[in-house]
Amino acid sequence: MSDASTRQRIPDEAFRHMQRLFIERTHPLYLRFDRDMKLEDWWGDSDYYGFEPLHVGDDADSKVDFLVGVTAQDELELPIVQTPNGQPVSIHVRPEDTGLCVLILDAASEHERQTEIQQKSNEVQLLSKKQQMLMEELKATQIEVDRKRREAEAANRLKSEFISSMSHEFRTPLTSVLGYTEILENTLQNERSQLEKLGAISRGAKHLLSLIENLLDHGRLEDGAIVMQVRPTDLNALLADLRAIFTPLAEKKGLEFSIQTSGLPADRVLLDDMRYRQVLINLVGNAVKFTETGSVVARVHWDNGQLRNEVADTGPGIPEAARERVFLAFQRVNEDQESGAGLGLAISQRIVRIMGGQLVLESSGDEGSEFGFTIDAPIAPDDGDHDPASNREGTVVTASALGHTVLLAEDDDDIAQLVELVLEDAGYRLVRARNGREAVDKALLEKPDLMLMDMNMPVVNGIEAVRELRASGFSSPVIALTASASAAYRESAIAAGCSDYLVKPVDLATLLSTIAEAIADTA
Amino acid sequence: MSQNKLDEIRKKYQSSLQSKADELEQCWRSAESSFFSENTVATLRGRVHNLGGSAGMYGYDTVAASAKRVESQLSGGPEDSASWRKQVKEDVQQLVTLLRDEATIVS
Amino acid sequence: MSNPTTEQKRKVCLVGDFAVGKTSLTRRFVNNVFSDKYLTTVGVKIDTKVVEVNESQTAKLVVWDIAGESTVTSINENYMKGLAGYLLVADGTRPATIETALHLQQRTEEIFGSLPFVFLLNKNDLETQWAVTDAQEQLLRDKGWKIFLTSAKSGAHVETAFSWLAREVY
Repeated sequence: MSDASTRQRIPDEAFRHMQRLFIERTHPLYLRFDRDMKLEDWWGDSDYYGFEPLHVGDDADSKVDFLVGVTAQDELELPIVQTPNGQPVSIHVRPEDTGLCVLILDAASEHERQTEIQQKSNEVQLLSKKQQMLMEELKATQIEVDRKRREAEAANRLKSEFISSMSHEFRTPLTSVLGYTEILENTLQNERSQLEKLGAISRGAKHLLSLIENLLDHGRLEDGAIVMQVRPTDLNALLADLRAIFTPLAEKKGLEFSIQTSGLPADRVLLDDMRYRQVLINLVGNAVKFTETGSVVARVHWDNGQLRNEVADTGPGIPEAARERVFLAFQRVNEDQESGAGLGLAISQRIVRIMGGQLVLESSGDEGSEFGFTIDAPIAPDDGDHDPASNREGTVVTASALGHTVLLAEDDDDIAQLVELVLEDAGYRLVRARNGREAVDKALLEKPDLMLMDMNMPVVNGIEAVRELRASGFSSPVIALTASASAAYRESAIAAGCSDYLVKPVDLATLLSTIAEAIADTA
Repeated sequence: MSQNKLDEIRKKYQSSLQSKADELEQCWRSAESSFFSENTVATLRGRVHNLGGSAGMYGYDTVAASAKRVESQLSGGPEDSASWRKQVKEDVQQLVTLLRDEATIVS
Repeated sequence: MSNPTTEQKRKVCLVGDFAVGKTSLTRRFVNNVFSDKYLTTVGVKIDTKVVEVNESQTAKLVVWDIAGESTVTSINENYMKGLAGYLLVADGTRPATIETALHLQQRTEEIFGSLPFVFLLNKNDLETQWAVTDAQEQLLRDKGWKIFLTSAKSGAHVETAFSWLAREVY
C-alpha cells in the first residue's frame, strides 16, 4: 500500500483533521541543514522546545546541543531526550541528498509512562539487593553471637572448675590444721593462754573450711552436678538438732531463739535431710549473726506433703537497693560486712529450687527480715525400720544395689537423666560426670563400685579416660557406652581397660542386668 | 511413682525435640555457609551423634535410624562434591522433619 | 560563518549500571546540588557546562546522562553517537556494578573506537557500606585507567573528574 493510495482512500477533510490532531499533540519541529550542517530551513514552534531564536545559516553545533558530534550522513533515532529548558522530546535524524533532516516531536507523555514503570522496577531491584546484603549481615552476626556465647559458656565453666579444684586443694591442708589443733588442745588442757590462742586458730580454720565448703557447693550446684539424696527423715529430730546448735549462740548474744512447729507428722517424710538442714542452718545462722537485740524465730509448718519454713529476725533489715541481689552469688548486702564469700543465700536458693521450692525474702525493714520457702516433703512409705543417722549414703531399694555407687560419665543430658532415673529407682547411688576429665577426677574421689562411660565425650574421650584410670589403679568395672558398633572400636575400648561394652541405644533392662552382673563379679 | 517420673522425663524429651530440630537446622546452615569447614561439620556430626544415641533410648527408632545415616555420611565427608552435599542436605532435612513431626504428636 | 563568541562544544556521555549515581554526578557537576532521592532516568538527559580547558581557554561540555543499562543497547548506541569521551560510573557499595562498567567500556571501545574516558567509583561517602576490596581497586588501577573515588553527595572529586576528561577531549 503506497502513500499515494492511502492518501486517496482518506477524504481530504479527515486527512486535515488527522494532521491537525498530530500537530496539536506532538508539536513537530522540523529542521533542515545543508551538507556543512548549516541551518537551511525550519518549520514548527521552536519556542515550545526552548530553542534560541533560529536563523538561516546557523551552525548546528552552536544552536542545537544534541547535534554536537552529528554529521550530515548520520541516521539516528533518539526516542527520549530531555534538556534543561524544555520538554522530553523524541528526535529523528535522517540524511537526505541535500543535507540532513531533523524532526523533533513532543514525548512528554511517553516519558512519563516509561518513567513510572522503570522507577518501580529499579527500586524493586535495589531493595532485593539490599535485602540480600542484610540477610548476609544477619547471618554473620548470628555466627558471631553464637561464637561469643560459646566463649562465655566456656569461660563460666572454667571458672566453676577453677573454684572446685582450688577448694579441693584448700580443704585437705585445712582439715589437717584442724586435726592437729584438736590434738594440741587435748594435750594442753591446763595451759589457759595457749589454749585461747589455739581456740582462735581453730575458729579461724573452721570458718575458712565452711567458706570452702560453700565454694565447693556453689561450683557443684552451678554445673548441676548435685544430686538430691531423698530419704525418710524424722523432722522432729532434725529440728531438735538445729535447736541444739543455735541456742548457745543466741544466748551468748542475748537473743531469744525459738523453733515453732505446727502440723508435723509423726511419720518420717521424704526429703534430702542434709540439704534441708544446710538451708535452715544458713538462714538461722545469718539471722543470729546480723541481729544484735531481740529474737530469731524459725517456724516450720507441715500440711499435706508440703513443708513451709519461715525464719524471722529483729535485725537491721536489708536495704531496699540490695534486696534484689541477695540471692546472687558473691553478693554481700554491705561491702563492710564482716565475713563470708556471699554464697550462703545463693546456695540455699539453688538447693530450695532443686527441692521444688523458691526461697523468698518475705519482708525486710526496720523491724527485721523474714525469709520463707516451701518444699515437697511427702510421708515416707513404710518400708521397715531405718535409723536416719546411719543411712547417710543413700537409699536402699533392691538388695543387689544396696549401697552401691555408680559413676555415670555421659555428656548428653537426655541420656543421663534417663539412666539416672532408672538406676536410682533400682537403688543405686548415682554420681554424674560430663566429660572424660571429670569422670577420672570423680572416679578417683568417689571410688564408685562401677562406672558407665560414654566413649564419645568432650575434653578427654572415654578411651583415654579409662586408660588413665587403670593406670592410676582404679579397679572397679567400667562399662563402655557407645553409639559405634564397630568391632575395632570395641577392641580398643576393651584394650584400654573397659570390662564390658554396650551399644546405644541401650535397652534399659539389659543395662540393669549388665550392671548387676558386673558388680556381682567383683564381690 | 517412678513410672510417673519416667513419663515426665519422656515428656520432657519429647518437648525438647522441637528445639533439637532447630539446633540441627542451625548447625546445618552454619556448615553450609562455611563451605563445610572442619569445625562446623564436626559440630553437626556431634549433634547428630548424640541425637542418634538418645532418640533410640527414648524409643524414637526412626529418628535414631535417620540420625545414624546422616552421621555415617558426615563421617565420610566433607567431600567437595555437589552430589554429596545434596544427599546430606536431603537427609538432614528429613531428620529435621521427622523431629518436628515427633514433637507435634500428642501422646 | 561560525560564531566567534561561541565556545567549542564537546559531547561526553555518562554510562554505567542503573542507580550508580550518573544523574547525581551530573547535577553536582552542572548545578552543584544533590538529592538522596532516587529518580530513574528514562532515555537521556542533556546538560551543558562551561569548563576551563587551560588558563586562557574555556569550552562547553555537552553532558549526556544516559539511562543506566548493563550493556550497550542499540538505542544507547544512538544516544552515544558523536561522543568525544565518556565517564564510566560504578557504585562502590555494589561490586557487581564494576563488572558492568568493565563490560560497557569494552563494548564502547568496540563500537566507537578508542576514546578518552575516566572511571568514577561513586558513593564514596557510604564508608560503612563500601564493598570494594583493596584487591578489586588494585585490579582497576592495574588497567592503567584514570580512576576517581567520587561522591556526588559530598562533591568529592566530581569537578576534578569532569575537568580531567574535558582536557582530554580538547
